[in-house]
Amino acid sequence: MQNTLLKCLKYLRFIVAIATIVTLTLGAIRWYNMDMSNANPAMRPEFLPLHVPVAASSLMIYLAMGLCGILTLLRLSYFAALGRAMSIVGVFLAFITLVSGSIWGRTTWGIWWSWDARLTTMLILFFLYLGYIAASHAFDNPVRRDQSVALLGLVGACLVPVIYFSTLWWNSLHQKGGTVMPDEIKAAFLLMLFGIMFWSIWMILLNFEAELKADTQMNKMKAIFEEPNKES
Amino acid sequence: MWVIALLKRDFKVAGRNITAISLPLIFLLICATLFPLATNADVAFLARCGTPVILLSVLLASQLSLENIFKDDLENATIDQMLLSARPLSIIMLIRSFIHWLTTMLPMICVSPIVALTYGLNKVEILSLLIALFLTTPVLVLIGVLGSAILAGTKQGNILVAIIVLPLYIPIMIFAGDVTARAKIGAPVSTHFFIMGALLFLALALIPFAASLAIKQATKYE
Repeated sequence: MQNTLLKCLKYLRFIVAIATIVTLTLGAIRWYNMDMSNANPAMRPEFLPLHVPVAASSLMIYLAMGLCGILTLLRLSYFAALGRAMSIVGVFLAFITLVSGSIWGRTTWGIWWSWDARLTTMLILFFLYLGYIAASHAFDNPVRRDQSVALLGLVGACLVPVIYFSTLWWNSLHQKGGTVMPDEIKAAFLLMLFGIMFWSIWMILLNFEAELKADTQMNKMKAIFEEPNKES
Repeated sequence: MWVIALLKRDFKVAGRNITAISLPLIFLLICATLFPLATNADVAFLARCGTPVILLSVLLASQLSLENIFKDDLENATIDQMLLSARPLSIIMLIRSFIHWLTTMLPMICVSPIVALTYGLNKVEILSLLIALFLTTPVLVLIGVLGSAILAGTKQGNILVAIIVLPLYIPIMIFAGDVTARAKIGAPVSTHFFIMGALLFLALALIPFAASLAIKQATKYE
């Protein structure tokens, strides 16, 4: 069962890797050649094809972690390992979002950081990821770790929208989503969005395989240590 | 009937642990004392940031006692007895949260007007602070109970609970902070109270179930 899964994952990973390389290359070319004559130059739209896809992926990965949490609590195997694999990629993307966003903010608003709804939500998301990762290392018993961490991820995923709407009470410097994007930027943006999503899936699959292998190794060790006790 | 019996039992056990009750209180007082010392104790500045300081001190002080909620009961297997009793575990969690609020949060709420006076807050501000505290602290306790149930019996214990729990406090803290800011300029605050009440009831309705799920895991696998 596990061997077939690992084999399937390998093929899937290969396909996703190719998709990542193709979309990211095309996206980077479009991004480099982006014609920004229609856009407001003060907004520095050249940051958009990196910052927005990374932020969207990081948010979506947390919600997917919550979904994995539900499936783990329903006692489906493998989803706990998938959730753990996602958390590492998610925290990296959240960090990149914060860094790229503050550089963008420095060039357009003139400040590195503002206590604005989206920025704060992203920061809290980063902390939620850190808590999730810290918790997943705190337990000795793997079954309890999976269940408890799944619950934590689920609670966090339910709270992310609440946190977002409660932080909206502040005035916002942030560019509103849903404004019309010039076609030239949109092409680069969409390519980069798909590229970064494929990249995340690629990394998640890599982590997932490592987690599965670590679990099997753990089970093997346990079998070796527990066998003499059974005989005696 | 069993609810009242359990309330009495939990209250007795919590009431005997004098350190767990007094520690957050002392922490709150010291925290609130240190703040003016760390700034230049400018009267107008202190009046402006009195309520946020008190709110934050209460929040940090509440972290101190989170470890005690389930620790002893897990060690002497009281939780197992509760599981065996076939009573709804969510109600048991609710009772535990209420007693924890009563023994750690209520003393702090009672002291906070005195602390607020030393910061030079006026009557309206103190009243709004009190209402905000009464609506905020139960949510803090419920989320804390959930966090300590998830991590009950693990080695790192307390500090990890704080890391997990503090981001979840944000929605309620935002409204509590905004209430006090609005009370300062005399703007209406009832909407904020309604929203905080809504958050409180949301937490009351959902968190006991999640906490009972977590504590079941803790008894099963540790």
